[in-house]
Amino acid sequence: MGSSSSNVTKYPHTFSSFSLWLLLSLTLLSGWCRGAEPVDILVNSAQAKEEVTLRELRAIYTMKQRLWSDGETITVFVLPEASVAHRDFCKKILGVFPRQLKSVWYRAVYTGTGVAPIEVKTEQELIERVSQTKGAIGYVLAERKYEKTTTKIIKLTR
Amino acid sequence: MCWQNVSMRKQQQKLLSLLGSTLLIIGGAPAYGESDEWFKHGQLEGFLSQTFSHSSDHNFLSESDDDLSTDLWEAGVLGSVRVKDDLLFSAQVLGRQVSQDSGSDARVDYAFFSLPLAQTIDSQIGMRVGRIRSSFGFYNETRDIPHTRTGVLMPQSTYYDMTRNSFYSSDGIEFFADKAVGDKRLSFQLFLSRPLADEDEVGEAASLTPSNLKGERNVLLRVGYGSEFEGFRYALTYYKPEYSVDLHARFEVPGPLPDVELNEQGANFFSQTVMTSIEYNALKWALTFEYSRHKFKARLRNWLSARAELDALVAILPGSGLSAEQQAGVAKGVTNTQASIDRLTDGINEENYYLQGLYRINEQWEGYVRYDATRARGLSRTNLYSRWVDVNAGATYQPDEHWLLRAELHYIDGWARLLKRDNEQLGGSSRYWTAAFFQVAYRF
Repeated sequence: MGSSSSNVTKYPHTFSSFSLWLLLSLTLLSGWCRGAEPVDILVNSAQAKEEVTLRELRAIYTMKQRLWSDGETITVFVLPEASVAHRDFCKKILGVFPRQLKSVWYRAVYTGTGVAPIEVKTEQELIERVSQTKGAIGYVLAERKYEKTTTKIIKLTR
Repeated sequence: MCWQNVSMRKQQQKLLSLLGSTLLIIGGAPAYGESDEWFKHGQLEGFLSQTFSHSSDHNFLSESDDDLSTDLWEAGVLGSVRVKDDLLFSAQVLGRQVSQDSGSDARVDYAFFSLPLAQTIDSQIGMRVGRIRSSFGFYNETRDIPHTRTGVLMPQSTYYDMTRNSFYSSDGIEFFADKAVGDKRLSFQLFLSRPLADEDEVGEAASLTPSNLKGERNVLLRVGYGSEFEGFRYALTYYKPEYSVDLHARFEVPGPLPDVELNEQGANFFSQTVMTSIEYNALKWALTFEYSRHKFKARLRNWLSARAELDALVAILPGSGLSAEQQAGVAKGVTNTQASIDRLTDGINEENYYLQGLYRINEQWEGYVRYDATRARGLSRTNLYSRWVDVNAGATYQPDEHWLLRAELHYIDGWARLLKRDNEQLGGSSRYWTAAFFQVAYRF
């Protein structure tokens, strides 16, 4: 509204508004994309893997796939059954209720076809354990902010 | 409280020596590393359940007739440990009571070593040695823990509790393999074993009093395709346990005529099942259909001559001095006895199936509806001893990982799945009857 702005041509003004709008949309869009998956899948940084398919994630979490492609044993971490992260992971990502997954683990353990996943109490503990264990995989709620550790988020492709 | 019968105890001793020697062999092998590489990743769990049952008529797996029974209870302890590297050991001991008459049982449900022989990223071949659960159909393996069952009772047409102990597990060796095929999994199991002989239970299957019951051989073959996630899954199972038994039956005749005896030593009988299983799963619901054809057949070497003696007995009735009424009674008795043992030697064929709809309401609640039926082929549909149609529905509430509460109602037509030892006088009793169950279970 000041006298200086009346001298600026319309084009740069529109351009800066446009860029602002673009930046805002991109931020919102990326936020929306991240929010579409309620949890982040984490693996130990030593793993070369950058993304995981839903099929692989299901095979890993039902103890059917026991090895990464480089031969490293997969160590599976989970959060407590009553936690929001676990419930969202089961229902919204894997597509089963937590109790169904628990039955699958029970079957794997007591038929000797797999070992049970390691249950940790908190997301902080999960992050620490995944950092310390080669071949580890786990999940945390998407909005979690945490210190940089030797874990990385891998993309889920459905 | 009565413990296992003699044959079970002997088999248990054999199992223990089999497992013990396996462990000795492994233990004797050169040590690969520190002792802390042994016995890792162990876990121990347990569960308890108490069921309250009531039925309008008949004792249904408990003294439930016109009563509130607390007969049905279970208590189990299970554990699994990684003995060394990939060698796993799993075991479960179960205490269980089905009815006051059969007493309570404490048995080793399973105890086996499991070893993968070859593993790739998407496939595995392995073997198990010891007492292993028979994995027939979708649900035999998970019927032991209340939390992994859908209802208080398994569908009785298919997973009958009458002979649960004999069929649940046996001692032997199993080869298993599975491979990822797209989103699904192909699985295969071949189990060769010696069946467990529970004398109480065999008495249910054949109405002749058995003794010296021995499991001879057992083969289970199962092919499965599907996954635990959404979509269809299928299984095909072939299961044939064989036993040998000594039988002694006596047909008593009033008056001066001689009794007719049937004595069999080492008579052979088998149970053969072919089962097809189909299930569709979505997140909130599932539809399951399992259909099986079951044959129970005995080979009695001395039956034909005993049968001929019974015929001869009828032939001499007119000159026997018995009254007309008595003669008619004997003749009828002979006909009935011949018919029932003929059935046993020809083979009793049954068709068993159930259709179940399951609805997962939320994390705590689940409900189901089921149509469960068994039919003996070759017999009249109105023969109530071989008829069973059970329409049942129930709900489960699991407030957390440990507790479980379950209630279900049954409306039943027929008597085929009633335990003979609890229901001595069935003739003339109700064809249609109802039953209700309420279960509390805790898992730790």
